[in-house]
Amino acid sequence: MNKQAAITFIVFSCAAMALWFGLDYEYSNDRTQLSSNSHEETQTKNVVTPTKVKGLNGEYPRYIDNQNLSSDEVEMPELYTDPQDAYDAKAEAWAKVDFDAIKAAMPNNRFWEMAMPTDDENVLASRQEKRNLLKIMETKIAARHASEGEILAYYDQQQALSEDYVEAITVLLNKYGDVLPEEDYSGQTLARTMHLARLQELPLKVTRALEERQQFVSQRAEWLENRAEYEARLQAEAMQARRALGKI
Amino acid sequence: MIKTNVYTSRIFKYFLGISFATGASVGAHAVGIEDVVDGGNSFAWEQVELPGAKCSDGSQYKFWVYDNPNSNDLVINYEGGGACWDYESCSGALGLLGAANPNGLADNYINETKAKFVSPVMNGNDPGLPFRSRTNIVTNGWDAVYMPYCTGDVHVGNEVQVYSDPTGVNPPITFYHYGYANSTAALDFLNQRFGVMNRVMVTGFSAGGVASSALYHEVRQRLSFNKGFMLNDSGPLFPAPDGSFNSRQLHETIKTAWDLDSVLVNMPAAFDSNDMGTTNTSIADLYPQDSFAYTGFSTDFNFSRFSYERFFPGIDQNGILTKWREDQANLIAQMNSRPNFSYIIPWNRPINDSHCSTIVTFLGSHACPNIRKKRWYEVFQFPWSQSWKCPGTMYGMSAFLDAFVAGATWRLAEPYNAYNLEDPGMSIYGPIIDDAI
Repeated sequence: MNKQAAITFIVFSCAAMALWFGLDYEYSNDRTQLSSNSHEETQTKNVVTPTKVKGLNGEYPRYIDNQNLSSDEVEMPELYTDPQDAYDAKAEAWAKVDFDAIKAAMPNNRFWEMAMPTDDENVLASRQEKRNLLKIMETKIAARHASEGEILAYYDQQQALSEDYVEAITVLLNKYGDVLPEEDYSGQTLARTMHLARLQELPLKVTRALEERQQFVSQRAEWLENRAEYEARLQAEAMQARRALGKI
Repeated sequence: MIKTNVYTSRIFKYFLGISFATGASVGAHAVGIEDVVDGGNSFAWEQVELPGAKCSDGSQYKFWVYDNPNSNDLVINYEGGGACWDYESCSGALGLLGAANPNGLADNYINETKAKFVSPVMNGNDPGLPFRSRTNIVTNGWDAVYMPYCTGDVHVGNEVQVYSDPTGVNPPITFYHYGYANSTAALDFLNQRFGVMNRVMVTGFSAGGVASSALYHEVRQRLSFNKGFMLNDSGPLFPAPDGSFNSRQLHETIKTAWDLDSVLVNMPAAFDSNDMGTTNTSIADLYPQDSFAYTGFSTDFNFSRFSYERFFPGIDQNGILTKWREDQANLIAQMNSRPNFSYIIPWNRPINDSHCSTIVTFLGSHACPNIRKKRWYEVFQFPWSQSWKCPGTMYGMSAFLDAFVAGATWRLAEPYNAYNLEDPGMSIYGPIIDDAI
């Protein structure tokens, strides 16, 4: 019985190892994981032997492409560490972030509604719909077709959204800035900085949008009063501009 | 040598249970931190207004120059922001599929979000986060020129149109597609201003990416410099020699609306006006000493919409992206045919619908050419949430640019993957950045 168990164990182990290395051989481009046989194949396949160029941050291979990737040969500056290690660090760090506690402190913050990661298809669809509506209004304002009320409501929404994002990220960074990977810390900081910059420029944008709308209202009134004259003037302007371009 | 047998170390960590303890220190060297520009630029910009230069509404066109007294290198960035060729698109009535800045440029435009946070390529010499390390991007310290976009014509139009509202509800608009006149006047100004330069990088994103390719010959003709670089971010001029090619209808439409025939006569002799895609090969051949590069995502759902949505009625997102990748494959083949063309084409990034890989930040703009799903025995590896694995090198945008300017040729196209979508950090800041763009 013991003998049978030992044989079964050996057979199973061999099969598992064969499958393991077989898969690796078949799919992997990471040649460092291959057997000596595979190394011979690597040497014949990778006919390009890259020389180096010296950049600002280190030395790089002079030539690489999708077909000639060999981790043995692609030496990168130390800065560019293994992505899997980096990703591990990310996941470990984010596991320490207690989003429930943050949410309890600011349950009505729009961050939860618009940006908190979720797999819920309904939430994602709702977000997309809201963003589409905002985009439509944004372009309507750019086209100068929005009413005064629509302009003010749009920028009110934008202000509230940016303020909420700034608040949420500030808490996140204050509480967990020390544990987040530098890359993510920077990403969050960038997002926060952008929304702060946006908040600063909103008053000017509102003023400008209202002025442009008023200009459109005047132009439309002028056009409605005498369409033929208005359109003739536009054509004359266009003609003059074409002349300036040397086209006439 | 960076690459090691990651699997062994991961399993080891997993069983020993020490991975949590090492997380923070490993994170300090994470891929991507060197790519971050977080405060926007704060250059001492000089506003330039040239006589006769106009935005689409007839107002004064403006651009901005930063002259670093210690630099003899220059980066020119052409801003993007859609395109338009009829009343629906030029008036803004089409929503997203219109053109930016239809009402001209404010004097403080350069300090607004879009220009301020435009790209690490431009902002490379700004200070990083306090108390955090950051590596300079290769354009660090270069002189900079920012060319805003307000003509709806990818900076190269040469026409003035009066577009009428087909519904008759609103007045017609005069639209100055003055891009070519503005661009060439600006280049002449820069020639006077900077004289003979050492290195010049011409770049741009989206519509500005198209401009970086289409205007490169003009840049070479009008400026004096030793070594040139062209980096087209997500403004591809896809090959389209006949009607069977996906981008043909777009090319035909804009040629008419912007009277491109009148400016294409100035292109290199090898350029074929019947195929806009020959822009790429003609400049690469004419300037063999210069280096050219393209970057963009395989799932770009913005430029692709401009390219196909209005020309293939009823087409859905899958159809659009399929056409995009077909066109992209043709472009890759074209670039492969020239020794001085590089490219880095990541799969996706949950920022701006995967449109533009150099804007705002390089986070997520990396490419792993042999990325794949984890195998059965790897699913036990930490982290549990990430189901993708990059067994080789993850090439970041910063490294790509550094190598590109140093004289390397890298041709990297990432296969299908959802690595960025499963990134716990990016899944939070991605949509927030999106809402600020």
